[in-house]
Amino acid sequence: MIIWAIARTTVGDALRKKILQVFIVVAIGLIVLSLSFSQTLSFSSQRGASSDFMLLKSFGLGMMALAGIFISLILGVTLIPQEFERRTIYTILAKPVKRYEFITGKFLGAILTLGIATGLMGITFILTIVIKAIGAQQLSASPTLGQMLGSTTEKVAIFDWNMVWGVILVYLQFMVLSSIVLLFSLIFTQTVNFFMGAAVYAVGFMSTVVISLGGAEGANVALQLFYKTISYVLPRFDQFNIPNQLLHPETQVTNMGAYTGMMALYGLLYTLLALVAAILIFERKEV
Amino acid sequence: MAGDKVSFTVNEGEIFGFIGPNGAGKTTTIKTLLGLLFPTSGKAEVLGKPAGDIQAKQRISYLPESPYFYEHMTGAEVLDFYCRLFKMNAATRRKRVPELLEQVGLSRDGQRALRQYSKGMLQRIGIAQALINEPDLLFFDEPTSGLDPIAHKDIQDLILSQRKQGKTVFLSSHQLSDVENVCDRVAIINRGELVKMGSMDELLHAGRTIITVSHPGSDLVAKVQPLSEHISQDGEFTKFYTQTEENVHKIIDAVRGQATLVSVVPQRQTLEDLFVEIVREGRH
Amino acid sequence: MTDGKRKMLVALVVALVAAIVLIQFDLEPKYEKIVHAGKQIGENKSGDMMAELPGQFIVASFTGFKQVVAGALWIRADEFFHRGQYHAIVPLVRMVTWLDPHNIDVYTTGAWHLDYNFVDVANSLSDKRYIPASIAFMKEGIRNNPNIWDLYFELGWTHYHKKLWDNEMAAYYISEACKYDSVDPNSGTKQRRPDFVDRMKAHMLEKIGKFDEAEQQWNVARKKVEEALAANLKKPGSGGWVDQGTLDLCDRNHSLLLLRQGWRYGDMKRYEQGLKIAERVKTPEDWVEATQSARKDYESRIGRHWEGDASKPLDGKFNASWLRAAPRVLVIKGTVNIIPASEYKGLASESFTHWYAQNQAAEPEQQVRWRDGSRVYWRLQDIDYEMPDVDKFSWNTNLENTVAWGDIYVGGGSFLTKINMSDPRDAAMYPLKAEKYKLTVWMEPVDPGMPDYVEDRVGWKGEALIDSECLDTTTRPGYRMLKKEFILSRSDII
Repeated sequence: MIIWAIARTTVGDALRKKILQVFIVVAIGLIVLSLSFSQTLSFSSQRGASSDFMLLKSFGLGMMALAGIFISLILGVTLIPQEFERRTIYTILAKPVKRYEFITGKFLGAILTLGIATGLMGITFILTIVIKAIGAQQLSASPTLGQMLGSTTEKVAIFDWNMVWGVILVYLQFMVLSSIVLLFSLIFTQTVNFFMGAAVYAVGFMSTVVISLGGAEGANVALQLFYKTISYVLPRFDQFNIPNQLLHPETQVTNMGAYTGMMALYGLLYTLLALVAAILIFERKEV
Repeated sequence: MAGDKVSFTVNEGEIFGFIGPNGAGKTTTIKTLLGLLFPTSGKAEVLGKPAGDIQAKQRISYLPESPYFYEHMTGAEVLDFYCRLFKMNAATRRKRVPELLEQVGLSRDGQRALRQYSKGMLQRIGIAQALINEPDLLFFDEPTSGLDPIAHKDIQDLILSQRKQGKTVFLSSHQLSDVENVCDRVAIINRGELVKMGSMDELLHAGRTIITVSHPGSDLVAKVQPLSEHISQDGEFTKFYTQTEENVHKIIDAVRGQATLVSVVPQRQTLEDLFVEIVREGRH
Repeated sequence: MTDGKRKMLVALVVALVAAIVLIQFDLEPKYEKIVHAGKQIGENKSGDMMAELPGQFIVASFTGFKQVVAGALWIRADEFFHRGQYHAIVPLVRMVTWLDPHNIDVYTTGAWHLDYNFVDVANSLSDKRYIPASIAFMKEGIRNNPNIWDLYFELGWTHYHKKLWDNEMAAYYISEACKYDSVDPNSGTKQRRPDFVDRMKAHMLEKIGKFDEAEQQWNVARKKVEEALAANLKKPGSGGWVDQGTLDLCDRNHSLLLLRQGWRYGDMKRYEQGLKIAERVKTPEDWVEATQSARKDYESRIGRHWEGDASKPLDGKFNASWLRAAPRVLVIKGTVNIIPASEYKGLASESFTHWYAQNQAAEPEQQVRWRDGSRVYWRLQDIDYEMPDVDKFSWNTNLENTVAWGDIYVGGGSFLTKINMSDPRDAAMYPLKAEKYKLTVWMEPVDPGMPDYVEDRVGWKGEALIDSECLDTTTRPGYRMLKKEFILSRSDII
């Protein structure tokens, strides 16, 4: 109950951050605006409506990811230091609140805030696609227009489950990122932490590079092992970003629901790891 | 007790003033007592429990210096949040929050967001959150800093009302007038060291008494001289300074009939004087 | 927190790390599969360039950090390259060049991927429909970087010559390349154009029959090397490493140009000039020997009537046919009289190669009856397919079209190849949506895959070729080729 009280307050507080609101509103605005994108903007070959969709989906997922990464970083970086600035942490810890309850509440608050932000963006995103799909269907249903557009006009499904998985995967990576940054915020100053967090994301996102470094022929065996180990321990942000699979439901190599489930487990464990580490550190931290 | 060389006890039911210049270690001492900081050596105990103990925390409270709180919340919401930290159920909270607002005089402002509050109102919310658990021991860190005179007075009254209820208040301040007006006992610290401690009377009444006499004869002066520490001439008046009450009586007896006794003024030292004196001494 | 609880939490941290690693073991293959599906997608759905690119990059490139994004994208592209996901690279390079239009590597690599690396599964043939895109991309690169040789050369050599077999355009662009030096990307200083660019121009001029210009170009190329030698530009990074060997290389090639004019067309003046240059070269030993032998051949021909080796007609006896071996599988086979070993008897070029003499000297069972290694070319396309005008090209590659070509090795006077369009993974490359198709099978000496010794017998432009049925002199005016054309209907293939 204490944890929940802290989490709730954190959410209310976080959602009122101006910078957060700006990110969410801009992201949502751009996602809606992306309705107007057509293949003229696309670098893809002409494939009619489906190429427009590809851009729309890719842009939407990317927009969410980008806005969310910033939100995650900002939240993770500021949530705990702000408690010090406002001295609320002292009043809270002077109450019969255990330190782990405070930290857990903050983690939960960050995760919930990100959930709300992703939810808002995600619903907009999926609605945008549905609207576009309905538009495309009406277009191809009209015989004359259909002819004008040529045979490339393909029938587009109204609702695409893959986008739901996409939004969930996007959210999961925010959860992991903000947890790591929250953990770091107990150790580093805000500026340092922001860049550390961004670096962790970048490295995790590019972990295949690390892996290919490890796999390079002639590489030192110890070094190979080192890279391999790193690739297993790093938060694998690349694994949350799988546009090819999401944009190509016809090339279903794996059950997306199951994959998302596995990634959710992965993300939760990672978050839990950051939380437990944070508890251990905070327990010994002078406030 | 905590700190490097700070050692004292606080009696139940008193307002204990804890003064010293900025950076003297007041806040550090309080935070150590609350278990927010860890003593480098020795131990800190509060209410017979180690500092930071959850059970002890049930019975204490803390108001940090210039707290801001979550400004998007209303006064009532903030208090409700703090009530939750004591695991109060909804019914209790519904009863307790208006009580607290009433107690600090914010009944009419409870539904306004904190960002609309004045500094004094924020401080009252701070006190209200400190009163939630009806604590036995309250730590107030610079509770009146930055307040206008009226708010200042209100806060002082709130603190005094706590003593009436039998609470122990640990009040840290660099505002001496605060402490002087409300505290029973005072500890003065400087550079992490306890310099002086005692009841207000002990600290302040240990002053001198000045006995002013008009035109004393030289015999009289010679007779009184051993009883006074210092004699000064001020026109037709001669002033005798003495430390003890006994000597005051002896001097008055001696003067009686021999010369005109103009006044007997106990020289009550202000805390300000004492403080300045102590801090100066510390600098030497 | 008690020490006991603390230890428990530390143990929990360790357990969590272990669990994460375990899950990663499970996820890794799934993720790999998804990543590799990208490749599959590329094969199935040529043209989906958006698929592999995480949207963050797309969004980020709308921001001000263009160079940074370009760099990050390029690293990403390299990653895709190592995975063989060429399709994924194209949108990346497209964006990188958009963000950073002076990155030469990105143009060359991107264009190379476009017309070399979209390869079908069954035949390892690249998808020819992307050649216009590739060339358009290179031209865009040239527009953005007009003052350096690199992209002109790359367009001429890698794309026009090697991929499109268009020597005229190749010669044009390589000549353009010879007008510019380069700029060192690190220091921004001017960098000498490598010598091979100038030499390649001479070769290409030879290929298109501009022998005099080619000869001039050899002089230019040689002079450039001489100057470099004088300036002592031996160290790498000064625009190519030159030494006496480079000079000899120019001389050998220059002399061969002249000698071949002598041998093939009986031009004794050229023969003499060629020998003089050839005799300047003192290494390697077999070159010196060949030169001496050629000198003897030259002297033996003085005063005799001789019109050159390519003046003696050779009947190509070209025949080609196709059959459908299975649905969507065509077999092309045929015979061609190029070139029987006996045709090399007494050729002037023999003085240099001694091929015929050596063949005769071999044990009877070791002797070959044919000089193998020439190539026959085929092209299958929608009957009305025309390559889009690259100058009006806008990244739209029409994937409704079917067009493919390739070459076939000729051995023992016959050739055979299978065009397998039946693999479902290749369906996008061979949509076969048209009703009628044109299948062309031909052989012509100027094609890049043709060995010199074919031209030694039939001439650069196929002057010696005759054929009662298949001789074609109109497709490429001035050149003679052997060609057969078939019209197939859709049902013939499917």
